[in-house]
Amino acid sequence: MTASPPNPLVEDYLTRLAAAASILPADQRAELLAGIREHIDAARAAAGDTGGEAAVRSLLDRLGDPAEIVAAAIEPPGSHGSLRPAASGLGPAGAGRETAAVTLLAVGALPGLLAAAAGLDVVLAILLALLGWTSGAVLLWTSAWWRPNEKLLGTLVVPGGLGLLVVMALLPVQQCVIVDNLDGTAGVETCTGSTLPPAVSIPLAAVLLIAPLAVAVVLLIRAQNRRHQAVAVIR
Amino acid sequence: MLSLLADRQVYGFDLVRQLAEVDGLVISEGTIYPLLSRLRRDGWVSTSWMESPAGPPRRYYTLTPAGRAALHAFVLEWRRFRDAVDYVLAKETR
Repeated sequence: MTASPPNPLVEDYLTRLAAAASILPADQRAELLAGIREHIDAARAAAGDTGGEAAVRSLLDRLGDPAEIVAAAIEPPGSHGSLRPAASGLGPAGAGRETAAVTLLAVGALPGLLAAAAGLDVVLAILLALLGWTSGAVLLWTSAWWRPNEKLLGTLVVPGGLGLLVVMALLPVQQCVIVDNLDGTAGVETCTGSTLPPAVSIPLAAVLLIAPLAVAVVLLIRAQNRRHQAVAVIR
Repeated sequence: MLSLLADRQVYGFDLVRQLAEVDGLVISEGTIYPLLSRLRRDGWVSTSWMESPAGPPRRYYTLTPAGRAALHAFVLEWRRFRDAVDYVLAKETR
């Protein structure tokens, strides 16, 4: 193969590509330009350089618009390659939806519960807490990135996420009052609320704290791994 | 793309032409190069320069062990997905 003589159409094409690629990091830009130039040289050599203008035009047409090529080189920030929804059928690009699902499952119930602690009407607060966690559950079940057993795990461990821990902390502490009788004799002790012995409450609190977080991490890692696998063929 | 690289080293130009021949995969051939570059940065593909019979050396692409593992994982996942779709479609047309 001998190097083809310079062609004005080719040089113009490469100039436009270089201009479009100016937004890329220098090493990526150089690699892209070298690759495309090599491709053009190989194609012209394979065609025996006989076709002239028409062959060069058709070659550049097949390569596509420089802007389109550069667009394919741009990676969305924070992602490890992009998914094209139309090609994948696996939901929008980026991991935003999966992150939202896992986050809402873990902490979605908290705003409602904290509002309850701050004095909001209890019924309203519970509805708010349910709404937060349920939104996470809906996102979880409608996602294509998790298998049914993982969805079940995310739903059952633990319903309400960290909310259950907060509920435990907010439950009224046992209070006992002894009201003396009017005649001065000791009255009956009356207690409100209930308290679990520390031997139960401390391990329970630990489980309620760790389990939802562990499940959240597992779900995120699984979704991310599958995304990386899927990216391979779409690219 | 990874599967075209599975068996052997491929010269960039040949790889692009092979992909272009598969109907429905590629719109413009030029967009293959950024993707190859990304696969290389991800460590799934490695490149090497080899002398061509005449003219400048050519860049050849090869699958790395990590790329091979990714391809294998994808093939399994894809078959599962394809079988599921086939199963549902078969039920519908029955």
